[in-house]
Amino acid sequence: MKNVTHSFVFLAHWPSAGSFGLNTDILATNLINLTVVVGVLIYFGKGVLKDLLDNRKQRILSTIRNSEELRRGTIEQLEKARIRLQKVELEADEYRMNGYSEIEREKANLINATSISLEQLEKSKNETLYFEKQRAMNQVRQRVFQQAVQGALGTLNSCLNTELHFRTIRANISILGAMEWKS
Amino acid sequence: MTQIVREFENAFNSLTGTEVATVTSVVQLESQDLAQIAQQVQNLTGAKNVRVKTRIDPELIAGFTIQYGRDGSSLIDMSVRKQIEEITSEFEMPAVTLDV
Repeated sequence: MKNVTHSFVFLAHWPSAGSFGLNTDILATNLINLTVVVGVLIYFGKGVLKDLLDNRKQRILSTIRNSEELRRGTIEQLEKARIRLQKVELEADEYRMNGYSEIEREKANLINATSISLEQLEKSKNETLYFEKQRAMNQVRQRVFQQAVQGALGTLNSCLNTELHFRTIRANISILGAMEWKS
Repeated sequence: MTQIVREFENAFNSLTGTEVATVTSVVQLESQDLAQIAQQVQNLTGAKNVRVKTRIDPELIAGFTIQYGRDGSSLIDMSVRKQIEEITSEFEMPAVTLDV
């Protein structure tokens, strides 16, 4: 209010000009203004600021406590996870070793089975070849014999005459007489 | 009538102890050959008499067969056809067509 009063006084000194004037003591005016403002703020804002700071403090403390709890929980979980990891690693090693053993066993079984199959196939092949060979030989033999018999029959039919028939009959009668028949 | 004749013949043969033999051959046999065959049949059967009947069958190829006994139940096969069949069976051959 002092500044306002001072301004009106300044205007009274220059009534003929009819306009505002400038205060040459700028530094003093600003300092005073600042002092007033700060004083008002301090007086009225002290309580509010205190409350705000207290709330802020409480929230920070609460956050710190929560963070601490989370940290402890996380550490526990980390420890458990580490233990589980160690256990899982052991199990993995065991599975790996068992897997290797299983693979070796399966490989051996497969090799044995394949060997047996090969032997069976070889045996079957040999048997088939032998059978086909025997069949072919039998067919050839039968064909040759058949041709021989047909040839013999042809010769026989062409050579047989009445005299030979009678000679054959009499020879058979002699054979019949020589047999010891048992009825 | 035929049945009556056959039955009469059977009865007559039975009463007289006569054996009937049917001889089948490729050619007609001579009487002396038939007599020898009858003698052999008598020796086999022990019959008092032997009556020989003859038949011709070219399929025998050569030789003869004798069929005797009641209802022709006994057979003596002396034909070449039978011998060829025996040879064929020994070689485990399929049946050979015997074209006479």
